[in-house]
Amino acid sequence: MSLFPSLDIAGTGIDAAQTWLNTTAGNIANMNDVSPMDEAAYGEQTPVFVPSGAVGQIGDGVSVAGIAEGDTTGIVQYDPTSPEANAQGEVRVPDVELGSQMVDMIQAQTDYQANASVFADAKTAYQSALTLGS
Amino acid sequence: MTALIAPIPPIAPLPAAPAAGGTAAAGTGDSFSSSISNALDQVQQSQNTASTAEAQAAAGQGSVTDAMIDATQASLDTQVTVALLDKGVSAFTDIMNMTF
Repeated sequence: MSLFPSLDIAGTGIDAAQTWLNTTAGNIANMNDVSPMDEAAYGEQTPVFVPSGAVGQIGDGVSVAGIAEGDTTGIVQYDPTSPEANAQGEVRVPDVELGSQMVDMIQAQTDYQANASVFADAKTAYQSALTLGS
Repeated sequence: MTALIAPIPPIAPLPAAPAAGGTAAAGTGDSFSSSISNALDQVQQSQNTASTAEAQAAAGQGSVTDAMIDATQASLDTQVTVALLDKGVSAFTDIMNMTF
C-alpha cells in the first residue's frame, strides 16, 4: 500500500468499471452473431465484482472475481439463407438484449465517473494536507 | 515508441550530512538529511513506476488509467517530500537567524 491508499482504491474501482464497459462493449458487438445449431451461442458476459482485502478492515478496493457467462443456448431462429443453418434452416443467435446492455453501459459509465471523482477529491484532500500550518 | 512524457532522470542520492563541528551529529539516530534522502529514494521509486506505466500505456500494453494513477501518486509523493524539505529548511533558517 502506498502513501496514498485512497488513490489505489479509487483506481481499483476505475479498473472494475473499465472491465464492465469492456464486457458491455463485447456483448453489444456480438449481439448479431449467428452460430450453427450444433455449437453454443455467444453467452452474455457480466463481470463479478468482489471486495478485496480482509473482512472487517479498510479494504483494498474492488476486484473482478471473474466473468459470468450467460445462457449459451441462445435463441433458435429460422433462417434458411444463413450459411450456418442446418438442414431444418435453424440457427442460434445470442440471447443478448440491446436495451439491458445500454442500461449496463450507462451504469458502468456512472461507476467510472464516480470513481474518477473520488480519485480527484482524494488528491485534493491530500494536497490540502500539505498546506496545513502554512 | 517513445514515452508520452520524457522520464525524469534519476536523482542522485544526497551526500551524507557533513558532521558539523566534528562528531556532533554522530550517533543521533536518523538525521534530517537521511530522512529526506530516504524520502527522495521513495519519490524516485514512484517516478520510476510512473515512467514504466507510461511507457507501457504508450506502447499499447497496460492501461492508461493505471499510468495516470501512478503519475498522480508520483506527483503527490514529490509534493510531500518538497513540503517536508521546505519545512525543515525553514526551521533551520529560523535557528540561524537567532540573535545571540
